Amino acid sequence: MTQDLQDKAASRKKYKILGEVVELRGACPFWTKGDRFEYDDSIKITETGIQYGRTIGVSSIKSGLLCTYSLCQLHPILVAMGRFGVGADELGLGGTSDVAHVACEAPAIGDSPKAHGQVVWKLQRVPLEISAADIFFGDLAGKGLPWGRYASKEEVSHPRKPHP
Amino acid sequence: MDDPLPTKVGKKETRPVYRTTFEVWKISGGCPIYREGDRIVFDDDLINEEESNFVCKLAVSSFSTRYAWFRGSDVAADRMIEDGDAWLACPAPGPPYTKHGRVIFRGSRVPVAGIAK
Repeated sequence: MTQDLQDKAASRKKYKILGEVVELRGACPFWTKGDRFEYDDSIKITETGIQYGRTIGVSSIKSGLLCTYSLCQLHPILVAMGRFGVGADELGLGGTSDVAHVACEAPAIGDSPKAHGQVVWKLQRVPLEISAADIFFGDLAGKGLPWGRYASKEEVSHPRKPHP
Repeated sequence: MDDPLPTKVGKKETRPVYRTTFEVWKISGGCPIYREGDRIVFDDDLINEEESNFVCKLAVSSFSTRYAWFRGSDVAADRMIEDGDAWLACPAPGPPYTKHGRVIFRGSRVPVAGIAK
């Protein structure tokens, strides 16, 4: 990795992602239009379902259910935009860097035979001062565990040794 | 005393192996990579580079939910698999949200004889 790429990677901010269902191209048993969730660099599995982030959980989803197939579509995008700070335009999923749109894997009605519907999410990123992963790795560092070294900003700011 | 966790290491197991082909069936918006008729081919769960046109990461993320189907599972209970074909969409929703997208793939699988794993 060149120094320019290292500087670019180090300068990327972390974001939380505010998600909202903006269109339902058909019917979905899990998501309804207007459902919201918040992704803050973590997904917490609770007794009642899967909770994104720390603040807004499955209660914001009106059906009380979360389609696990949608995680396959959303998670690579959420990690890219949230943890690594990649813009939506860089991912080819939006005209601006802050707003992306992602569709679920099910074709919309009319797009394929016997289709039942497709969900379209709007993902908007909001800058974070400290992410859930930072807190997690900070806790590990406080306990003296080796993974905690990744929470150190000094460590991240130094370029790594080139691979032999 | 019987081994509570019998290992399968060292035992040769045979099972039906499938070639799964995802063909671009319809493009409602636009796509810089695929045209209608392009294909992504998997032999078992490995991408067959020679038979595939291109491999788009976003598209393959849709296929990952059908991993069991690649491995030859019973597909009767899956609503998105109709008459033996799987219909899957690209994660890019297409216009008016994104410039490209709304690519529909038709997946089909055929057993490949004589392969054991």
